[in-house]
Amino acid sequence: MSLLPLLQAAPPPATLRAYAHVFLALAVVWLLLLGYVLHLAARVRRLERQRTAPEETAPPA
Amino acid sequence: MKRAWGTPLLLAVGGLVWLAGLAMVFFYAPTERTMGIVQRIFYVHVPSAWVAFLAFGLVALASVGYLWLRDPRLDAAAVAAAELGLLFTSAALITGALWGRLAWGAWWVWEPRLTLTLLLWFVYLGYFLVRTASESLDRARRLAAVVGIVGALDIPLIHLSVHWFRSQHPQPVILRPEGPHADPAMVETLLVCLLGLTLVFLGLLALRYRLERLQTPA
Repeated sequence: MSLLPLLQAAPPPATLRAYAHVFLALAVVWLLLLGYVLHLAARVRRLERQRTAPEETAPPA
Repeated sequence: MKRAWGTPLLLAVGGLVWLAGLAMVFFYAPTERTMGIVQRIFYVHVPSAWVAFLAFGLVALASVGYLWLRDPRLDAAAVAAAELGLLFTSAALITGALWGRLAWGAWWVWEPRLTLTLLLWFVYLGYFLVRTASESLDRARRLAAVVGIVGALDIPLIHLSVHWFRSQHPQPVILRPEGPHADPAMVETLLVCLLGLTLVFLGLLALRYRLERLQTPA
């Protein structure tokens, strides 16, 4: 297989559907990464809360 | 939690490089002759698959190290890489389906490369199931390490499947013994996208590793 650039002046039928699939593919990768980063951030926040909670609730010595 | 600047910097640089790559996808890379516009999915599909294979390769390496040295840091690295590997395999499978719908007329075809990639996804899903199902942490780590190593054996099979079997999946255009067979602008665009997504992956890996180390006992 080879990937060759278009030589003739008129492009192949650049349908709206093809563009929609390309944008959808890009959006999927962005959304997966964004979702994962948000998920990680939520886990870090939860962990930070868990680590600080005992200190806050500990009775004064 | 101690602030580390390396990880956000890696993520920011990776994100910027990837954005530059995406700009190249639309404004620099030429439209492919036979597939047309839809071929541009290649610039997100191939880097996603590459990063997934890199992640699972790291899982296997860290798992071998864990079984040998029993160092929990290696197990944490394997878990972090496995989670990201699953994420990027999902991205590769979805973007591949979006391409296949227009190129083949079907979202999914049971051909060797796709089937082996789906198998890889399920093996690493099993990696996490094994971790949660085992009664002791040590046993969970050992079993998961074995699954992590066995799963990575699928990666060369996926790569070689297009040569070994009658496959509908396109043959490699970059990783060929005789060199890339694509327009230089297409190769450059792919390389920039690959670099960007690899840097994003390394940033996320560092972040996930730190989280795993904080969450689990030594």
